[in-house]
Amino acid sequence: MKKMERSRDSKATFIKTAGALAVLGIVILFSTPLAVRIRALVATIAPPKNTDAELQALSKDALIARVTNDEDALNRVKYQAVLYDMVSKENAALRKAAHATFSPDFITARVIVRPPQTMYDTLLIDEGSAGEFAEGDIAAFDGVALGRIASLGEGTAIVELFSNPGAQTDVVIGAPQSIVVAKGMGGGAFELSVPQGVAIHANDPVRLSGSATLLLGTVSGVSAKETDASQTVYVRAPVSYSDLDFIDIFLHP
Amino acid sequence: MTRAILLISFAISIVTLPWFVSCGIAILYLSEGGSAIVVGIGGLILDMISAVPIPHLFGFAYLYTVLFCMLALAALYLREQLFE
Repeated sequence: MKKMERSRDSKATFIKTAGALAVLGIVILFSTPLAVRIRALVATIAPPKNTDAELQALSKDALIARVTNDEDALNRVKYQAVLYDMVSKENAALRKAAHATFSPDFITARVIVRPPQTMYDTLLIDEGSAGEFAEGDIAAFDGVALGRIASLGEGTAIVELFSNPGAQTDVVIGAPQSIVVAKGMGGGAFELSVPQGVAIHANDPVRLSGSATLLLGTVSGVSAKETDASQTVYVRAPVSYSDLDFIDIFLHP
Repeated sequence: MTRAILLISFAISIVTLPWFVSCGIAILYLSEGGSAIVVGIGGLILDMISAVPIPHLFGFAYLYTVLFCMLALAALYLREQLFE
């Protein structure tokens, strides 16, 4: 009897230890760059669902409407790209005329911790040594404004993302261009209250006020009632925070 | 042995894996009779690494500490109820 109990205990201990070792193995595996290869392998074996079935379920009219909308959005993006190019060339010409030299006023930092590793809307970056940048400096990735430096540590810094729940940021949106406050909703989402007179469409760019080139996000939806003086605009950041590896920190002038 | 392995897993996961994975490992560690203080300290470290005041929560910046302390308290309560 005692022998049986001892054998059962040793079996339970073995299973527990094996389980704990499996947990440790998974933690170590997903803490190394090997995790990226595993994700790529999974994506190859089970690729994300395509939307063919969804499109086939739509009526002809709905399909035509969708294509027209997409074409309009594409035309707007093309127009904005041309406009941006013109402004950029004009800026270069003006700089040349004024003999103003262009200095790279940003530094690149590596992201150590990002959502969803943290439940806060923050990034932990590896450049925090004194004198390089200060609290309040803007962090951006590929022309997209992400947040501001919230605190500096020894070799690290915390970036508070603009989408931190309740955080308020001045942005430029719509036609005619208006400056409104974007309220962070968490996870790269924002909510704006814009006067009804300002025309806003889906996928319109929302830019950071005071910086002509930095994009905060694109309009994902507009909710408006005819009786209200303002409309609620929902904006999404165009980058996935979980994919950020390197970001730029714009230094204070 | 099991407890030590889970403790190492918890420590590594704090800085490398999503917070909910750390949370799961903390539950496993506590269910194996791990120290409640260690889990609370883990929460505090997570807050020190990445917390900023959240305006929606009146500037509160200790979400992990509260969450992990609640886990630890729940584990202590359950342990007391089950073994006494």
